[in-house]
Amino acid sequence: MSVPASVLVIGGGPAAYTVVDQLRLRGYAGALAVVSEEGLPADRPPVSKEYLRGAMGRDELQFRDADWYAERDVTVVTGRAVSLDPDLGTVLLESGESLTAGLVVLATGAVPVSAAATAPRVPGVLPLYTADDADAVRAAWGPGVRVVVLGGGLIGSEAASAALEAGAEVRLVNRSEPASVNSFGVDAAHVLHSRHTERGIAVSTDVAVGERALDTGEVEVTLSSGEVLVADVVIDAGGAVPAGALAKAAGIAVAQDATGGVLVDAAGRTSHPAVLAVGDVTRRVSEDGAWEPWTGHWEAALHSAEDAVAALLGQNAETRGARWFWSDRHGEHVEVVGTPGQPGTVITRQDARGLRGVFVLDAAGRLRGAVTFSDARLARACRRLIDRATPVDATALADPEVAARELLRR
Amino acid sequence: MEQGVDVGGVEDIPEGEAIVVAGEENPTGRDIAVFHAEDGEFYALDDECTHEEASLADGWLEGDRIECPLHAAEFCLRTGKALCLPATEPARTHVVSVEDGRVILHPDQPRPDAVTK
Repeated sequence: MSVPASVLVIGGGPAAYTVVDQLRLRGYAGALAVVSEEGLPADRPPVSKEYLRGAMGRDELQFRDADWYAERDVTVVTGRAVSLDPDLGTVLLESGESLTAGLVVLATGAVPVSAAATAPRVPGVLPLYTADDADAVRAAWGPGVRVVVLGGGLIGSEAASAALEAGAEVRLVNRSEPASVNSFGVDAAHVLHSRHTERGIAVSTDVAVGERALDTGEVEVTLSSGEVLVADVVIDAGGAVPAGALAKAAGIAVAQDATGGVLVDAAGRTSHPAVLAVGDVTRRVSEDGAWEPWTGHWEAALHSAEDAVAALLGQNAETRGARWFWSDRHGEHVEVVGTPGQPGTVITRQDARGLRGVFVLDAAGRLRGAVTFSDARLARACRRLIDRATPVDATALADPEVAARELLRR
Repeated sequence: MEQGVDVGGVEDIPEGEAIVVAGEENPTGRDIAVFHAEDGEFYALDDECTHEEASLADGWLEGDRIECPLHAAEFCLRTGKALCLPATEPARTHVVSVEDGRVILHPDQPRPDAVTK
């Protein structure tokens, strides 16, 4: 499409911010507005990490202050989009206000999935997805408070770790043992999952089948095994799926499966020529037409936004290498590069401090994925090794005496 | 101009590596990272990432960029510019000179090409 005279971005997270930033950085001079439910666009990963632990303030979550948007002639509208007419380029807000643009960019992110059995959630069962949610959770826990976390994925594990740090008595309920096998690969997933019990978190491999608010203010959680847990607060961390409802209602093609997501190509193009979609709301369709797995990772969202803007303005997109994401739990900064969940030969690196890396090599001896433990340089070296796609020196990889930078010279 | 701080010999900082000059050892009171870039030049930035508490000296140095070890924000060693999220504020630069094989840090003397935002 030709460059539109006006662009309206819907969303308030990293992808929405990146669209705005990149449009202006790359010289787009048309009218530009962003509709965000939580006001100025803000970062998401810290909500279940530093922010939840109280190590970061609300203001620090925002990427930029109001002046930054004003200086770039970007209108920030605080509101919730309730419907979209893609043919007219019109978005209706909950307030009744409607906005129109030549191009609408959907960056609505993801919505939490409930791991609680009772809907709506009973009092004392708290969702954990937004910064407001994190505030409520922080206010509810403290020393000696009995906390049950439903869901042991990235957010659930980070929440359990933060609750423990706050002095709570923590029980983690997760469907499978270990959790997050697809993200970490089975070996690293086992290591990470077992750290919960090592640190004193009671883990149940089960699911909640019912929750009941008691007169005492406590919550009773019944598991499928019949076990009944009594908690002061229950944290519902069931994961997330793309927030594709707005697009779907507007007739834009979304994936017809449990994950959903707005179907897009590498340039963020949807089934409607006047609508792009970027970030967690999307489901990428590969060149052979297959729907790629949805992961919802931060850096991927930024890249998708950058690439969509570059394509829109007729500029070259960067080549993207192995994916990367991180999780913070029990004082450890865990980084994942590539796809350690794929089958292959598993190698580990250990030193006096403990496990530093788990690596997955394919049949040709090429590194395909790695999980590193508080070792930033190792993660970055692995990322570059994966991108090289040539056989690696497995002995050097396993040897903690070989510095990360040295791995690239082998 | 403040007197420079001798941070060591050229050979003490291998290419691609960095050392930290502690806040107590320089007049700014802040830790400063001195990098030996792959082009052979020395650069210095405030050691703490402008996004969160992390030491840039522990990061990954490539070309004229340093990548933060925590969340992969990148900074230009020459200008201090934040090149990608999650950082948006530039890192403070300091001039580094090499005199008679010694690496001399000039704290609080920004590089001429430094950016302020």
